[in-house]
Amino acid sequence: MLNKLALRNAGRLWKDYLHYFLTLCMIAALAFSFHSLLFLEDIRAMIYYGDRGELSTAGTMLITFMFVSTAVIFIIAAWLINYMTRFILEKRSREFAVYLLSGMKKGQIASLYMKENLFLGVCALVMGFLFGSWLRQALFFIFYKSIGKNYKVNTEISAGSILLTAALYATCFVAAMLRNRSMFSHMEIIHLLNMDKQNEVVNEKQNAVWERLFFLFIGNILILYFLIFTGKITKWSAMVEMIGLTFTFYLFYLGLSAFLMKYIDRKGRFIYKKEYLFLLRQFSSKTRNTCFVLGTLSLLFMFALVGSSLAFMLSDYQNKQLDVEYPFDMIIISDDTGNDFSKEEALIEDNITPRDIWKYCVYQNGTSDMGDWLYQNLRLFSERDTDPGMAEGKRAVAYYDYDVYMGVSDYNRLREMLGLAPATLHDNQYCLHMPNRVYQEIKDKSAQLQNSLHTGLEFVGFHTEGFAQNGHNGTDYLLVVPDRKLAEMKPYFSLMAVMADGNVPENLSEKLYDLAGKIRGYDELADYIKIGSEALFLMPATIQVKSREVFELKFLMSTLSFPLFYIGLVFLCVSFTVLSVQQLSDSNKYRFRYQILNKLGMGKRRIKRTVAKQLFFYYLCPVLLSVVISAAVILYVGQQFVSYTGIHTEGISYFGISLTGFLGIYICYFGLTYLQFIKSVG
Amino acid sequence: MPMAAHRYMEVKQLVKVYDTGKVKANAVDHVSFYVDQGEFIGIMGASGSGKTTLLNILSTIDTMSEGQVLYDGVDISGMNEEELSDFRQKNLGFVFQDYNLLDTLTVEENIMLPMILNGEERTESRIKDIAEALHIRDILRKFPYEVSGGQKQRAACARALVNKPKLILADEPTGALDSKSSAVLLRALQVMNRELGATILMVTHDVFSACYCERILFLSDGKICAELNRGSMEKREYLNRILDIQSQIGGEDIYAE
Repeated sequence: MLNKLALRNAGRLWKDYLHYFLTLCMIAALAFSFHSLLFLEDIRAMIYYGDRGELSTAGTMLITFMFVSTAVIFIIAAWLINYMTRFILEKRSREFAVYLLSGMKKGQIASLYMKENLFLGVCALVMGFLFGSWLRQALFFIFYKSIGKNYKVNTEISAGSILLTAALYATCFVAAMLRNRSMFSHMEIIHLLNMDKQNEVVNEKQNAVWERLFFLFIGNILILYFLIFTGKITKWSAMVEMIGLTFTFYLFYLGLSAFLMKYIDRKGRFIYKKEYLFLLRQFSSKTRNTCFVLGTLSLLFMFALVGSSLAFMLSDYQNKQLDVEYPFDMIIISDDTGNDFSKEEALIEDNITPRDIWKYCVYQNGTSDMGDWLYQNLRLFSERDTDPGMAEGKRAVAYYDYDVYMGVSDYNRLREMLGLAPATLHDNQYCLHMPNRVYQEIKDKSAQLQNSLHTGLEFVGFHTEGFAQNGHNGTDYLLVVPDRKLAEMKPYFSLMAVMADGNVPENLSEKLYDLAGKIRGYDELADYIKIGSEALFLMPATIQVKSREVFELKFLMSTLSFPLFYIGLVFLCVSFTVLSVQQLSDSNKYRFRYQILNKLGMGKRRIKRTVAKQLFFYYLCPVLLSVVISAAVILYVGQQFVSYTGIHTEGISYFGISLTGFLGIYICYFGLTYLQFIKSVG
Repeated sequence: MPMAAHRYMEVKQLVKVYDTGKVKANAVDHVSFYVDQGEFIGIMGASGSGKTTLLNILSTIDTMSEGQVLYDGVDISGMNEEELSDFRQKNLGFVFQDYNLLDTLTVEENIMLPMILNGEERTESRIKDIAEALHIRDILRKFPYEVSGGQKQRAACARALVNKPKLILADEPTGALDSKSSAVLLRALQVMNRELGATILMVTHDVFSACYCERILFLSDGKICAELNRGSMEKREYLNRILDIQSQIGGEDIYAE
C-alpha cells in the first residue's frame, strides 16, 4: 500500500518540480557522458602507452581533471538534492501532518518520502542514461574534433561509466534522505501543520549596519576593477580582494535588501511608479530571507562563467596559436654544427613524402645583448632573483648563452617554405624576428632595445610570423643579418626544417627520437634547448614533429577545457533550478498576492508584466553580481593569457562568448519559470 | 445619512447558473435591486444562499449568466477583462473577511497601493486623514503580522477607501474578528459612510453587523425574499425585525421542504 502511495506521489512530484527533475536528468546525462569518455577504448589507447600500459602525462591530467570535476559536480548535486528534498518536505508538511493524524508512524512517513524521492531519482537516472547515450555521441564528436581526430560513431557502452554514475548519484540521494529521516524524527504534528502557513517575515534588524556594508561591498568591487585596469594588482592586494569578495558574495544580498528597505522607508520616488512598491518590497524581503542561497548561487554562476571563459581561452589557443607555434611539419636542432642530418633525412623519406627540406645553421658572435635585454624587460621575468648568481642561473634556463643570428638567405629560404614573402636587407641592415606576444610587449621600447644592441648595422624592423622560435630558430628572438656578416661569427646550431606532402604520422616523432637515442619529453628537460618566455603550454623538444606536438597539446587542452565546460554547465543548471523552484513554490504559496492585486484593479496583462518583472529581478540579481565579479576575473586572466600566448584577442571576448551561452540557458529557464508561474497564479 | 439622490448601481434580473454537465444550479436567481449613492446597504443570508456569488459578480471578479448590472447607467456585462480591471480600480473598493493585506508591505504601503496603481504620487495626506478617522495612525509603519485582526481589517477598510471609490463592497468583514473588534470595525464602516461619504454594500450573515446598515436585502436560495429599511427605527427594534425576517426565511425553507 505504501509503495503504491509512494509511486503515485512520485508521479506528482516530477510534475510539480519539473525543473528539478529535468536538472537531475541533465546531471545524470552529463555525468554519464563524461564518465564514458574515461572508459572509451580509443581514449584509453591514447592515454596509455608502452608494453606495460603506462599512463601518459596527458592521460594523468585527463583522469585528474575528470576526477576533480566529478567530485565538484557531485558535491553540488548532493547540495541540490538535499536542498530540494528539504524544500519539498516543507511544502508538503501539511500532507505529512495528515498522515501522522491518520495514525502513520514518523518512520513510515520518512520511508514513504524516501521511496518517493528514490523513485524520482531512479526515473531521472534512467532518463539521464537514455539522454546521455545520445549526448555522449555529441560529446565524443566534439572531443575528437578538438584533438584533431575523426570520430566514428561508437555505440559501445561501458559498464564502468554506468556503475560510476549510478554509484555517485545514489550516494547523493541516500545522504540527503538520511538527513531528512533525522528531520522527520524531530517533527511534531503542530509544527508540520504550521510550516506552510508561515508568511514571509520582513526582517529589518540591523538594517543600518547592512546598508553601510552594502556600499562597502560595492566599493570592494570598484577597487577590484581599479586594480585590474591600472595593473596595480599585487599578491597582497589580490589576497585582500579574495577575502573581500567572499564576504561580498555572502553578505551582498543582506546589504542590498537593507538598502532597498531604507529606500522604501524614505519613500523614494521610484516606489510611486506603477507596481514597483509591491515589487521592491517583495524582492527586498526575499533577498533578505534567502541571502545565503543567493550568495551560493552567485558563486556557482561565477565559477560557471569563469570556467567556461577559461575553456574558451584554451580552445581559442588551440585553434589559432598551434599553427603559429609549429609552422614547420618537422624541425630538428642539433648542437653538433657538423651534423648533416643524413640519417634523419633517410628515415623521414622512408615514412613520408617531403615537399621541401632545408638544412642550415644559426650563428653566434659571443655576445648576448639581446637575451640579456629581454631577460631584464619581459614581464615574465619581472620577479628576478635579487641574488645575482641565482638571477644568472634563471637567465641561463630561459635563453641560450649567446644571441642567435641567421643569414638573410637562409631566412628567406625558410620564409619561402612557409609561403611568406621574402625579407629585403641591404648590406648594412639587420632585422628581428620574434613571436608576436614578445613583440607586443617590447614594441614601445624598440629604441631602447636598438641602443643596447651593438651589431654595427642599421635596424630595419620586426617580423612576427610563426617561425619555430621555441629554441629552434632562436628563443623568443632571431637576429637576421646579411650573409657577409656571418663570416665574423661561429656556427651555433645546425638545423633541418621539413615540409611534407600529406599527413605526417605521429609516431614518426618516436622513430626520430629512437634514432637519436633519446627518450621524448624526458632527455630534453636536461638538454641544451631553451624555450624562453613561452612556458605556458610548451615543452622543450629538439625534434619537433608538428602532428605529434599538436595532437598532444590539443589533448592536453581538451582535458582542461572539457571539465571546465562540464562544471560550468552543471553549475548553471543547478543554480537556475534552485531559482526556478523557489519562485514557483512562492507562486503557489503567495498566489493570494496576485489575486489581491487583481481585485485592486490590476488587469491580467499588467499582472503578467508584474510577474515578469518580479522574476527578472530575482533571476537577474545573483547573475548580475556574478557577471560583474567574474568579468573582472576574466579581464585579468584574459590580459595575462593574451600577453603570455600572443593571441590576437581581447581577453574579455572569451567572457562575452561564455555570457552569450549563459544567457541562452538563462532565457530557457526564465521562460519556463515564467509560463509555470503564470499558470500557477491563474 | 447623506441624501439618497443618485442611483449609483442597478441590478436587473441577475442570474448565475453553475452547470456541472449533470446538474444545473441557480446560485443567483433573477435578482433585482439598486444601491443609491451614500447608502450603507446589507445583504443577509445563510451559508449557500448565494450572497458571496452575488458579491463576486457585483465586484466584477465573476461573470453573470443572465441579467444586467449597471453602474451609473453603464452595463458592465459588455466589458472585457482589462476594462473590468480598470473599472474596479477606479470605482470599487473591497473589504474581505480574511483582510487580504499584502504581507510584505507595511500597513501604510498597503493603504497607498491602490493610489500608486492608479498613478498617484502624493498619497501621504489622504492616508493620514483616513488612518486618523479609522484609528490606525499609530500602526502605519507596522507589517500586517505585527498588528491585531481588528487593526488589519481597519487597514483593509482604509485601503478600500483611499481611492475614493464610488462603492465599497465588504464581504463578511467581521467574520474573522472577536466581538469587540467587530464593533470597532462596524463603527469604522459607519464613519466611512457618514463622515467620509462612502457608499457601502456589505454581505453578512451576522445580525449584529447587519443592524449597522440602513437597508437590508435578505437572500435565500439565490433569490431576494425580503427587504428591510431601518428608517427611524431604534437599534433594538431594528435588530428584532432582522431576527424576525431571518426566522421567517428559515421557517419558509423548512416548510417548503
